[in-house]
Amino acid sequence: MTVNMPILVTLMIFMAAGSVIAIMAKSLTSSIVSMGTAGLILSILFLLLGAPDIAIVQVFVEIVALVVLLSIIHRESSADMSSSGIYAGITLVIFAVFLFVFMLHFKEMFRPFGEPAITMGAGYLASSVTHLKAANAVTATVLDFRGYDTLGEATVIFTAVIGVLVMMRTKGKSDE
Amino acid sequence: MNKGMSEIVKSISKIVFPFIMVFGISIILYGHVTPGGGFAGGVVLTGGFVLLLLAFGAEHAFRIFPRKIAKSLDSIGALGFLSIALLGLTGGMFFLNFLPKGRLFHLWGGGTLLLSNLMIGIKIGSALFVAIATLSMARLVHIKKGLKYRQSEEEKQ
Repeated sequence: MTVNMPILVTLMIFMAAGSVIAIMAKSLTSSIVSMGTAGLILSILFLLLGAPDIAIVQVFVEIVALVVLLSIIHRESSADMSSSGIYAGITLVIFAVFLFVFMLHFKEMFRPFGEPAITMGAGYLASSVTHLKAANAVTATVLDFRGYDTLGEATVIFTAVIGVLVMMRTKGKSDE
Repeated sequence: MNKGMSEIVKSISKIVFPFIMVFGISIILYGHVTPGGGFAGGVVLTGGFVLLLLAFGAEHAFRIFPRKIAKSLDSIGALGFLSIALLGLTGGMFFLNFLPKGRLFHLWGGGTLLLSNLMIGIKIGSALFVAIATLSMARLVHIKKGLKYRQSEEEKQ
């Protein structure tokens, strides 16, 4: 699958803009929303670069993070949420643009039903026994052929546990 | 801190705990031969420790599996898995299976799979236990703090 460079660069510029706005924005709500934009564009990038499984994970994690962060912010203060027609319109336009881009590349992204996009599975199954001498093909795939993915998952859990420990620490935390 | 459940639960979990540990370790070690692996075995180990936590309370669970050791085991597992991946660079590739492959259906088969499973099992087992135990301990502290905060707010008004 060839990668369309202009679309890739445009999406990356959007992502960088979202990240910059997330840092510079004054209200917490807008910075969270622009952070979510960056994450969702990252998932589109994963899809374009041919990594659909990590794209699905990215979409779900981003949505959950967005919902959790917004709910926390709104429990703290519901003052800085003012609805305006202009912002809703801008959001709709951006969404429409992304939908248009998605529809343009719909046929390239997905094969017809029943035709697997990746034909490496049979190779994994065969070489896990003959080459790797591992009877459990699942473990052979997870830890050897797709070791990168497992490293990423281990990093995710490591980060999550560090986050729990930092948030729930009792020492060195001000009482306010 | 709660002092745990009734005597029946305590003695049953005392008997069951070693079996859960052995089961988890065997799932981790034979991950490349039988169904299972590092993740599944690590979660089984966590389940054993969480059983202790529920039956005896978090303090007793931390006495058996101290928090410092669990934290460092978490880091050791993550770094170990990464270093197995990096050791593949000696053969020229990241994540190269550089060990001799051994024999099919044996413990010493599959090259680095055994080591990777071991590292991930250590990592997942200690990390999930630390997370669950910390959350269960911190919840009480935070509820108490929240009550205090609410009282002081009401006094101000």
